[in-house]
Amino acid sequence: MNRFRPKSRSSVALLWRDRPVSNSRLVGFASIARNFEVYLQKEVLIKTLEVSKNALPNETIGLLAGRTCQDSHGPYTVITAAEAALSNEIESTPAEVRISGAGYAQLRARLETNHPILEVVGWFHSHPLSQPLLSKEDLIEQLTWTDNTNIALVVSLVSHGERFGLFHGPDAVLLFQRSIVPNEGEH
Amino acid sequence: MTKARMEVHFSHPRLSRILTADVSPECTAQEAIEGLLEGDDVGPFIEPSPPHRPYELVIKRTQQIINPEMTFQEAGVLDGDVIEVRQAGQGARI
Repeated sequence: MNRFRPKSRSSVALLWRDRPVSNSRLVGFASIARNFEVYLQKEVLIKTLEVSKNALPNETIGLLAGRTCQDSHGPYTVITAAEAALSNEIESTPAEVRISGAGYAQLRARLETNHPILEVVGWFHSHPLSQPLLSKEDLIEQLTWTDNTNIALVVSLVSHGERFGLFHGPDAVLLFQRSIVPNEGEH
Repeated sequence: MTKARMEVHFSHPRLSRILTADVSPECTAQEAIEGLLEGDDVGPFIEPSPPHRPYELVIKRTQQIINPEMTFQEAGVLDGDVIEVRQAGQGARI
């Protein structure tokens, strides 16, 4: 007799809403290869940069929260919150950061407490010594984020080049920042 | 009297998702992980883990780790429990 029998699973219905291309509080990123976009609240970029600087000289890691939505062009992800791991939840050096399964669970519980109606949509970590590109270890981590709408954000603290790198899906497709045209009266 | 089967909710290690399953008290953590890898009609609930990042099952109510060969009964799992599927994470410089 089968000792494990799946019955059902929770499904998050995608919110049907036109993508927020004209919202000046959001920074849009798009894939050239695929029809997929991400909209990041500016405060998320500010917060992830701040916690990355606070963790210097070491790397740090955290989770991203928001919502995956869809419109007539397909699915897209909106990220409105980030939660960083605490120093006692990680082992980190200037070249790597590790978080245990228990640490991830604590981090996620904290994010869900602080943002009870958002879903976890991805992760971020910092590169104090290198560009915001995914390393071999980062690509392995991104493989554990199995949905095509899941996001990896890399924050670089080197003084030259791009500050942020954004990737989506388990195969880590690079996203490029798109221009935002604010609506009239929106500043 | 021990209930023949229990309804248990497994939380995904990364995403805000739950899979509910009927589980025998004699089911081991390893068997449950294999069941989650196999999944349901929708597909696998979890993917094969990369090297050095094995899955671990933990009873959310008690924080008891269910070791791979331990049965749910031995771990003290009750009907309606949430089982956290945990997996370590890592990032590194290029």
